[in-house]
Amino acid sequence: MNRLNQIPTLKPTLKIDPSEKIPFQYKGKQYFGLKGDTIAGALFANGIRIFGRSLKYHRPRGLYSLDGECSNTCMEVNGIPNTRCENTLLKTNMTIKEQNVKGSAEHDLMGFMDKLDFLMPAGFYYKTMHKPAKIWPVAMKQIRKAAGLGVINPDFRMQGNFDEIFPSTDVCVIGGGPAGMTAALAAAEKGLRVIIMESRPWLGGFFDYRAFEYKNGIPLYSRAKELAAEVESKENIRVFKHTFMVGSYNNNLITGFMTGSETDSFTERYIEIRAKSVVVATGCIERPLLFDNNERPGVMQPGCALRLARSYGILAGKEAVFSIGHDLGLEAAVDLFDLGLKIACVADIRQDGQNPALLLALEKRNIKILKGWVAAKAHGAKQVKSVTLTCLDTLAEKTFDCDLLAASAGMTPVTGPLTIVQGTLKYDDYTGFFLPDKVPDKMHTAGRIDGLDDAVAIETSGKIAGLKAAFDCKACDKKEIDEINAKLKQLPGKTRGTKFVTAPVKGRKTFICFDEDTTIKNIKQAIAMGFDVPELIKRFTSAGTGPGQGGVPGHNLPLFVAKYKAESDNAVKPTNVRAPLVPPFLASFAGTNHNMRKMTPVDDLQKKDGGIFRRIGAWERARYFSNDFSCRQEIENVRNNVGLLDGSTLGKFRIHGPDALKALDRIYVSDMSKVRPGRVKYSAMCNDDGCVIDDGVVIKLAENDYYFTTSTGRAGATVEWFRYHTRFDGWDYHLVNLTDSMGVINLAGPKARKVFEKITNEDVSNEALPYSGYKKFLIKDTIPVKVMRLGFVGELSYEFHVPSSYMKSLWLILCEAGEEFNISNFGVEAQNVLRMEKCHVILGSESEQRTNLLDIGLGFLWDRTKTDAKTVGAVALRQAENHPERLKLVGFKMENNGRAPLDGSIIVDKKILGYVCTARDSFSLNEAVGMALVESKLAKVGTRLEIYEPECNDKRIYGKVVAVPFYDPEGKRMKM
Amino acid sequence: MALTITCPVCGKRNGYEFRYGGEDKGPRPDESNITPQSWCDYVHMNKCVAGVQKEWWFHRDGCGSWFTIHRDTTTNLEVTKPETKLELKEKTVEEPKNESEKNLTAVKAHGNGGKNNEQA
Repeated sequence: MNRLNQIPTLKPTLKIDPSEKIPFQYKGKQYFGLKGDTIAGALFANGIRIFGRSLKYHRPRGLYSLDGECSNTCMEVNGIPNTRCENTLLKTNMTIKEQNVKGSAEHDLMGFMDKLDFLMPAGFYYKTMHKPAKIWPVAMKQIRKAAGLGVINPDFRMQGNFDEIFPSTDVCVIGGGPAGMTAALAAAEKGLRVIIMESRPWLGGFFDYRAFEYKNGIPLYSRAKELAAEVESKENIRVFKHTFMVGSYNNNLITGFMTGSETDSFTERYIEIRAKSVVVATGCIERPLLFDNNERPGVMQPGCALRLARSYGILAGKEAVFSIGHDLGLEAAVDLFDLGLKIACVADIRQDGQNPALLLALEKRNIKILKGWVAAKAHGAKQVKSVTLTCLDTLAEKTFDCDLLAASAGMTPVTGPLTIVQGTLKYDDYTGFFLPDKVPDKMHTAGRIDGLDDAVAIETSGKIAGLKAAFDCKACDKKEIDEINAKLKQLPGKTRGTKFVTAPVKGRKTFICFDEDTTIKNIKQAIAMGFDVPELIKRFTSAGTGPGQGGVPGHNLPLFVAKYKAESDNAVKPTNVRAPLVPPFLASFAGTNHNMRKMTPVDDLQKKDGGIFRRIGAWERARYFSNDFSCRQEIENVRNNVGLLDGSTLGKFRIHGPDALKALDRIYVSDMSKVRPGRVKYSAMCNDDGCVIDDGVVIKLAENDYYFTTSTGRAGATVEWFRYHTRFDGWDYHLVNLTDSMGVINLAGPKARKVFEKITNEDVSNEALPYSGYKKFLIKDTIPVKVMRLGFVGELSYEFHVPSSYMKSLWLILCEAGEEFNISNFGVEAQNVLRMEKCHVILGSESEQRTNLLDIGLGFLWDRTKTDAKTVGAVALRQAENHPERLKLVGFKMENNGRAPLDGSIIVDKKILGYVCTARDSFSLNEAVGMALVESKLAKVGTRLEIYEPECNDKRIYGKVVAVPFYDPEGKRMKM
Repeated sequence: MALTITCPVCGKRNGYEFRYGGEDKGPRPDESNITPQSWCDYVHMNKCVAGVQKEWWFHRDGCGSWFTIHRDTTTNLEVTKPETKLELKEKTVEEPKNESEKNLTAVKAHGNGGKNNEQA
């Protein structure tokens, strides 16, 4: 299709680049659009008039508004259903499909549904198909098939990058039209930081596509460009274009979604703006005119026809009829005539009140205008072929041939951003608008949302709003605002608007809501059934509940209801809108990359050795080192030779300062004054209920200077925990989180000392560094290490704490030294089995929320005498001490050499008596062993445990409580 | 979501940066004379005020300090001068003075006020 890109007067407003063609696929065929086209524009330019079929009646639907206020142009794009093609820019090789059709949009086999509308009165869905109850399962299947427009493939995976930003600003302006831009400039001139959001990909609003005179012979579009250039040049104005504002909340929080262009790093970006003050300058959209077949392809809003020509160079038809109710319609007729559109006739709802300049312009061009006339019916099966106009007074009729019917009844302000934050609206009889009544604190309105229409008045109101926002930020005084307010009073105020909704028709095929196929007849039916308030009628007929969020019926429904019920004007009540005002992708809500994880300093070394990594909290850790997930080799090597484990994920902290010991005594259950230099103390932390939350070791570096470890999962909460429980005391101590700056290597196995001796001259004999001992020295005269002798896996073992930067070096030194002793990696799972054989607990495996210190047999850690320390958990422990009905941690073996039960299996008789914490087939012991939390009556050695595994088909397995630990009960091996 | 919190160290910041630490219930009580009931009340029971309450917050993604603010739970906004607001409230709603009067108000709230009024 030829575009109008050669007309010189059109050049300044065009948004397309005629030199750059963009290929795309529609229904398997290749088409071309131009750079800057929206999908809907490109399809229209290629002669496509029917974009899809409607929800219930499968009526053909086409381009109507260009701003995505209805589902007419929702299509499937690149597998994404319900893409709003009017708001989505065309990208190279997009694959586009129509929706809700059987066959094609052109020839839809479901088209007969349009004749069955008498079967579907308002609310039929609530009234039929459930009596008798038997038919519902059958009906449900059919309804589910018919419900919804687009279909998503269950295998579909969203592509793209979804980003989020949380900017804060002084002033946030919603709407990049003339009022919004002047508001932004006024606030920016006061030195404030401003964010301006605009839903179209460019600034300019409704000045942008209009050739009407601004003043002194300058057209409005030039003025828009001038303002836009000024806004963009300001360093303290941040412009978010192609950004849909979707929510506003108290405390001036504004949310929106920014669409990424082809060069942006993101597909869609969530934006959450905190502003000190907000200006709402969202302007108006056109209010649809209702008549028979008012949504037939070929019927569109005058603004849409004008923008198609002015922004995209597309003439929407050859011969047009206009049926309008506001001056913008007349203006569009004049401008489109000049651009080459034949105009058969302009019908204006209004008898008088038109702008004389526009009437003169029409006369000059010999365009016939019928005042007090309105379109009554559009003819043509799939596209408008002719239209019948009717006189509102005499009901006389005239029919004109045309292929374009530009129809709208008036304007309607976009008030969503106000009402979702509890702003109230009041019906204004003069304009016919719902105008802002009570606006939330530090929120201001400007421009057409206030009912203004004069270009200069709009800009002045923008300036006032900008200054008011500056006043909120204490950057402007009241006097200045008053001065400009006085100026605004001199300018033309609100413009009278029509309240006309529907032509004098019966309304069977007169659609008030396109998304849900709701007709005027449906509304009348609902009113007859007693639904008297627009909000209820909206619910019952579903008018305005579609993807357009009430953009089409939002204003018409209350006006129609009030008129039909002959109510006084002040009874006109708007329906509510809710966030999100515009449908964004769920992927954008999900946000950016979620697989954020920490890696230890020896991550790559372990990967090279075949480590299989699993996510543990914030970390990625090597769980296995072979595909044998029982880890037999790793376990046996630790038991017989020596193994190497990366323990860097442990929480590591230093606490120092005059009150450090007091803080430790508050948090740890043990008496921390008994931590001796050169020794390691194992202890635990409880919460106020006495439930054990963490365990670890503490060493004393100096007086009131300690180093301690926490479990991996608690590392992040430890600082907070210490400070919370000492917040009233005013103690002087510093707590430093060294988790990421220190690494840990665990060297374990009977040959561990032999390896250790090879890399240091320090005396590390059993006498010099015994079990529970601690030493600090340099390895190879360079690497500072803290070495602790611990026995978590039940063998002779050393834990090396070294700065992260030295981790790799020490790791490689140990590997080299251990080569002759068959040193090899062992992973987290091997460690899990090894420690389980020793009955060493892992909190979270052997404990849950309700498990207290005493339940898991760690009561020996608790020092009852230090009541002055007000130890966290001590009170509750004292109270729970003699409680008979608590779960106890026990060890068990399986009967008859049976296999180990699954972790988490329950222990039962007729009810649940406990559960298995960890159980494994032990290679060291040659039988299956495990630990379980059971009711105290089962805790005695010798008790038989009946174990019920998940999905065991009622086949129980049995174990027996035995003495613990299973492996090396005397603990000789870790002390050797 | 729309909450901002004023940290004594870092100033007014986005509510996302903080962790809620519960109503202010005062320092840990002395460990003598504690009953299971009184301890449970201290640890778990809340007033759940509809109005202005003093509460603890932790600047998790910031300076790491614990501090109290006053927040109106009905608007979810931090209030700077809680005293004035509380005064207003006391003027409009008369606080019951003694135990029996308290019970009476409770009964009144359940709609049986008339009968009990006579007894009082």
